[in-house]
Amino acid sequence: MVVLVSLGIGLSRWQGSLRSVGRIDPLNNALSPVFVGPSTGLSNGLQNISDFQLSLQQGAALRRENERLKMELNALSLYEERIQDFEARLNSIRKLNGFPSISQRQRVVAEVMSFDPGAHRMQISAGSAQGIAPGQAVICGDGLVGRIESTTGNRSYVQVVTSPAFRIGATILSNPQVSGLIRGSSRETMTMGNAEKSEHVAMGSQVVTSTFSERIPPYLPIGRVQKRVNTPELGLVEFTVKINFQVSRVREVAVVQ
Amino acid sequence: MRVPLTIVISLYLATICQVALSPRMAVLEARPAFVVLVVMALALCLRGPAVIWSGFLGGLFLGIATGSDYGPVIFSLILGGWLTYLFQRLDIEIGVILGSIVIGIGTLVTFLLLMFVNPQLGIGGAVQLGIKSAVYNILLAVPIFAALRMILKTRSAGV
Repeated sequence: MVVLVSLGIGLSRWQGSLRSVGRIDPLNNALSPVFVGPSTGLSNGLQNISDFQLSLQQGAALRRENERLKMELNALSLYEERIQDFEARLNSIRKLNGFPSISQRQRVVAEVMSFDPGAHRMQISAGSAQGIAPGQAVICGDGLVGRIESTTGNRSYVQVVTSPAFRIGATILSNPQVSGLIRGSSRETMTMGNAEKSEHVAMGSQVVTSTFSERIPPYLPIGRVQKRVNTPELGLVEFTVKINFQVSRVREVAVVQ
Repeated sequence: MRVPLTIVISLYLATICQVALSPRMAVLEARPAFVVLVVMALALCLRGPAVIWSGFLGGLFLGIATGSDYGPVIFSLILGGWLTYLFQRLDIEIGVILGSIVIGIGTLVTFLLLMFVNPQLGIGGAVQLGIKSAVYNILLAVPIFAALRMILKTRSAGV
């Protein structure tokens, strides 16, 4: 028992040292396809059955919703040109003042291959071959999912926002805005700590990524303020932020490069 | 040869179910822990060294498939499996129902062990996750434990 536990600890240290430099251990690299292939096949098969059932039950409603979403997309595309125009003008002004321009970021779409809620870690189907690097932001339709922890050829591991080890600058969109450091705290919430002058923040206010990170783009939705926790004796104000989605239900993500 | 083969195949299938089925089977955030379930079920059917190997392989497979840290998972599965194995040595006839309950308790103990070696999970998270998974595992353990016991042809008496 002692030998096998020691072997496990040794493997863990080896895994940790490689992960700290953004790499996946060779054991995982070599054997992962043996597990991931069949499980992805099974998962896709079940998804197809579920989709088929859903189309039988709600086909007409889904078609109507699809048409409505297409119309909304067309309406949004009208704003896209204006946004691009504003960005070009902003970059021009930044250049005049000697600031570097804000570059357009590419997005790589990937499928979620597995999610370990205990370790707050997700495996996605895109890796260094697609230009993905540790530290890049991972998003879904509802907001920030996490950031790339380690990567290899066609796979990457994502540290999910709910992980207590996940820390990032965040801003509450109130008037005036409140900024602070946010960290994962449970499976559905994050904690934003040490927020000063925050009496005016209303419950339900939107929380987004701050403008202070070079790797994580600003204004990505994170969640909404759920609760304020005051500890006056320590002079601290903390906000509990409920994230916008259920991590275990996320199937597709995009990596912002 | 049958025992090592049963251990490897059952843990391999459990790992695939853990990755592919567990998220889809979530009910009120409760998700089955297939690998823990199979390790606990094997702990009630096998002898000491095989139980330890089951825990080691279960942790290794889980680490490879989901990217979990090898150390905490391997440690908690080996120790959780060993504690469940001790129940087998109490000289009580373990039937399918009693076995399933023991597997559920073993699941909870394994999650608590995981909490001690992997503080990322947090006390509240580990206890909540452990209780929910334990309840789910008790239900799923009935057919899985019965099947493993039949394959490994261990004693079949008791509750």
